[in-house]
Amino acid sequence: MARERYTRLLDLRPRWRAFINPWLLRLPNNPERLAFILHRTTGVIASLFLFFHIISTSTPARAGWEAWREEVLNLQGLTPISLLFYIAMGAILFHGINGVRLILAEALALGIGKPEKPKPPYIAPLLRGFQRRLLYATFALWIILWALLGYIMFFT
Amino acid sequence: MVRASVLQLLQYVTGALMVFLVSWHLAMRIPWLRGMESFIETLDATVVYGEITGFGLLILILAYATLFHGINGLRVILLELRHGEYWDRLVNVLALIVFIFFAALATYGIVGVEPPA
Repeated sequence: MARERYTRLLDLRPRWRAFINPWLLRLPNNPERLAFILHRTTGVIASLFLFFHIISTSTPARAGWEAWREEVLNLQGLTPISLLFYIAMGAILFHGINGVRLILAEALALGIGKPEKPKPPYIAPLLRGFQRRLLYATFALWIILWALLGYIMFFT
Repeated sequence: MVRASVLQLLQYVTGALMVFLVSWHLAMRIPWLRGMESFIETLDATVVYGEITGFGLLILILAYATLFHGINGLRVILLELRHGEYWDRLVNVLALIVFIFFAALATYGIVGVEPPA
C-alpha cells in the first residue's frame, strides 16, 4: 500500500525533460508563468547591473583613463568580475528577447488566439500554437546568443 | 503627478527603443564588426573615447531610457510587494531620487570626459 502510494508520488514528479522543456513543468498556470518569473528575475538583475554599469563607465570622467584601464583588466579572461558581467549579459539578453515577445503579444495581440468555449482538458489558446512556438524560439535564441557572447568575452 | 497609465505606456516605449539601442550597444563590443581581434581591444581608451565623442547623444538616450525602464520596473515590483499610502509615496520618491542621481552621473560620464593621454 505504502509502496503503491510512493510510486504514484514519483509519477507526479516532472521527469528529466522538465529541465529543458518548460511546458512540462507543473507550475500553476504553466509556461507563461515560467517566462513571467524569469522576466522579473532577469529584470531585477539587469536593473542592478545598470547602476554598477553607469558607475563604472563614468570612471574616465571621474577618475581618469588610467583608472578605466585598470577596470578593464578585470574583464580580461575568466575572473569573478567577468563572470558576474557574463551573468548580467545573460539576464539582459533574456529580458530583451522575451520583451519583444511580450510586445508582439500585448501590443499586436500576435498568437493569442480567439476566445472559445472551455472544453476539458482545458488548455488556454495562449499556451498553444504560435505563442507556444514563440516562447520556444525565445528560449532557443537566448541560449544561442548567450553562448555566442561567452565565446566573444572569454575566447577572443 | 504622472498617471500610472502614462508611466506604463512609457515603459513599453522605452522597452521598444531599448531593443534597438541595447543591440547597437552590444554590437559595439563585437570585435569582428570593428576590425579588431579581441573583446578587450574594443574597450581600449581611444576606442571608447571615440564612441563617446561620436555617439554621445545616442549613449545618453540609451542611458535615460534604460534608467527609466529599470527604475520603473523596480518601482512596480516594490509597489506590488506591499500596500499603503506611505509605502507608495516612499517608493515613488525613492525612484525619482535614484533616477535623477544616476541620470546625472551618466550625463557627467559623457560630458565631463577628457581625451586619453
